[in-house]
Amino acid sequence: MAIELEQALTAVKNAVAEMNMSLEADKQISDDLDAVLFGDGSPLDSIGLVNVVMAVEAHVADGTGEDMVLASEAAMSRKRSPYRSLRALAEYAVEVSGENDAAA
Amino acid sequence: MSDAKTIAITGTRKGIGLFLAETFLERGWTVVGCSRGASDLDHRSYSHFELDVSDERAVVKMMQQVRRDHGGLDALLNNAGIASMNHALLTPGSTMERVFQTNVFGTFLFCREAAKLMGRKKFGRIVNFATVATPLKLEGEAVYAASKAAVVSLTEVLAREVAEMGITVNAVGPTPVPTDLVGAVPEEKMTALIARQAINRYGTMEDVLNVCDFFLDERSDFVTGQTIYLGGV
Repeated sequence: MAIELEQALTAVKNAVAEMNMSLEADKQISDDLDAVLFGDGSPLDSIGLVNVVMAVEAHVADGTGEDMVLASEAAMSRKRSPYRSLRALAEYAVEVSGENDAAA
Repeated sequence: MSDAKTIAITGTRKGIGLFLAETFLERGWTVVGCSRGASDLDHRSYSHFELDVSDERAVVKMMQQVRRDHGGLDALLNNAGIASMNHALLTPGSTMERVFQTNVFGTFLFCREAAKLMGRKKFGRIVNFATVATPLKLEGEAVYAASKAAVVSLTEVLAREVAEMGITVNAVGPTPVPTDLVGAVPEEKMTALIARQAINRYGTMEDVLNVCDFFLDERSDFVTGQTIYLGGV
């Protein structure tokens, strides 16, 4: 069964909390769901983004039992990128989960 | 979960993959293997996944299971591969698809998912499997050689992309080793191939292991994006 948005948001927040534990004060990732995650004004470089996405995948898997890949062709698109904010990333996780569900 | 190092090896049902799995088990590593069929390898530190390495969902599922069971991954040997020996003009498109699915897509998927686990610990060693058929430009192996050329290219670029995560990505290019993979090739073809090596003999599984050991060594943290061909090719 596809995961709910609330579950995805929880996973995203947990992933950020986990990452912030090992980041210096000036490198902390905002847990504001609508703040820019990756792009202008974000402290994340591409490796930082990879780490966030990896952590979210792991937290979704642990929280819901669903193994998913949050890779996206639209990564570099300012408007469509699922990495533009934490909320967009959570919504993307729900979308991927729905696709996995349909394919199963 | 133990303190033993964990290594994932693809294609462990037989041949070099099985040999590598047995070797690392003897050394006390935890080994996670996979192949399309079931494995006869029975060891308390070995777990086997039946999957097609080009099946993205199956690979993701396996690696997430590795994360849950072992807390991460120290090394990956991307050994699974299939060959094709045929004149290019007689090779069906479906053969190319099949060979690329296993050799290129499978290698990519395992690199990607393994690097995710390794990145969390800021350490990892990935060894991909190339072949001397690529630099030797072997006639009759256009598809196989091209697929492994893609593996070399993937190795070189990926090495740069994950270097910052403490992960090295290298490749070993074996000469023919007497396994099922070369079993179907006529003897005279193999003799002619071996004659093109600087050292004229078949490779052994120990030769392949030796290069893997070099890449896996913690002291090899300044070695990445390299392909070592055996036999002096």
